[in-house]
Amino acid sequence: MTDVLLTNTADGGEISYVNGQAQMSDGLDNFFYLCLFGGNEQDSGLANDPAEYWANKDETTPARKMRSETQFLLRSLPSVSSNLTRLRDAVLRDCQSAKDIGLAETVDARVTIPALNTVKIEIAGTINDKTFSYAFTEAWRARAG
Amino acid sequence: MSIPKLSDIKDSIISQLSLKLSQTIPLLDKSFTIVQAGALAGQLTQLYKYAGFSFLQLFVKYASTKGTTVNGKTITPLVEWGRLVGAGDPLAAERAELVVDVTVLTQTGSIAAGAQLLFPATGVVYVVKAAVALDARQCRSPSSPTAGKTVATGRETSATSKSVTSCSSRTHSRTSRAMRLCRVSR
Repeated sequence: MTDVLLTNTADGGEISYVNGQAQMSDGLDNFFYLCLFGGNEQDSGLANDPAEYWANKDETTPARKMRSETQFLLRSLPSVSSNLTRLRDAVLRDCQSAKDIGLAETVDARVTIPALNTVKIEIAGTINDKTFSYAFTEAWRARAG
Repeated sequence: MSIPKLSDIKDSIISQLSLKLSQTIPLLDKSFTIVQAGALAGQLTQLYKYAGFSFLQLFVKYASTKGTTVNGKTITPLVEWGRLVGAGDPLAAERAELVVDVTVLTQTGSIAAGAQLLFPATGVVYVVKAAVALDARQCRSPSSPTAGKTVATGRETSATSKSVTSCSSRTHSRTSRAMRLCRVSR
């Protein structure tokens, strides 16, 4: 399968054009990227949150609904190491749909702080006994203290 | 014509894109193509809704009374229709208190306060202000300005004003068959 490659930036996902052609990908990195950063970043992921992404309202396929606890926590949790565990749990919950639709057998995550107010999320998924890894570096916008 | 559901439009776009991209397996549920299809479906739904709205404005019965701005020009479709046929702009609605003469054929019962009276010509609904017994005694007693008459309040448009002002003086005859509306005050 192919998909237009979404590159993570401070301003959301961007499309890159090289020689007039959109850069493509196999789609797996997009899948995990949209799991972590899809939908409205003001959506808490709780039931009946009015900030939920508008296109979810009429979506009949649950896996297509865009809700991300990860990006919400990056706006609301202080950027301290003690919150990394909570952030990792949110990442795993967001990526659960990969297992739900049978895309990956296992999904694991590692969350670190490589620089000040920055978070790096590494996803490792096992598909047909092969491991695919993707890393996303994102600004941790909520400030400590 | 009915507006297709957003999900139907989205599914249609996804299937067309899949065909063009020669996808042999389904697109992942979270992919750029799916997101793009959703955004396009949202825009198309808006166009469907606006096209439906525009079509209804062709007919006076369904023309909107609310202003809409198109390319910087604000129009009210029903008012434009009125101008086209020489009806003029509508007058502002005002509260009115009217007196209704009721023909009493059977001298029993009453019209309760709060009862609603419909003027079929305009569709305006009037609300009875105070209860009135339907007997001839009250009808024959002109000592009180409202005796034997039902006072109604309501909002009247220019169309109803025309009907109201054209009526003749009040009649208290028991054999009168027409119900008359007269303006008491505005």
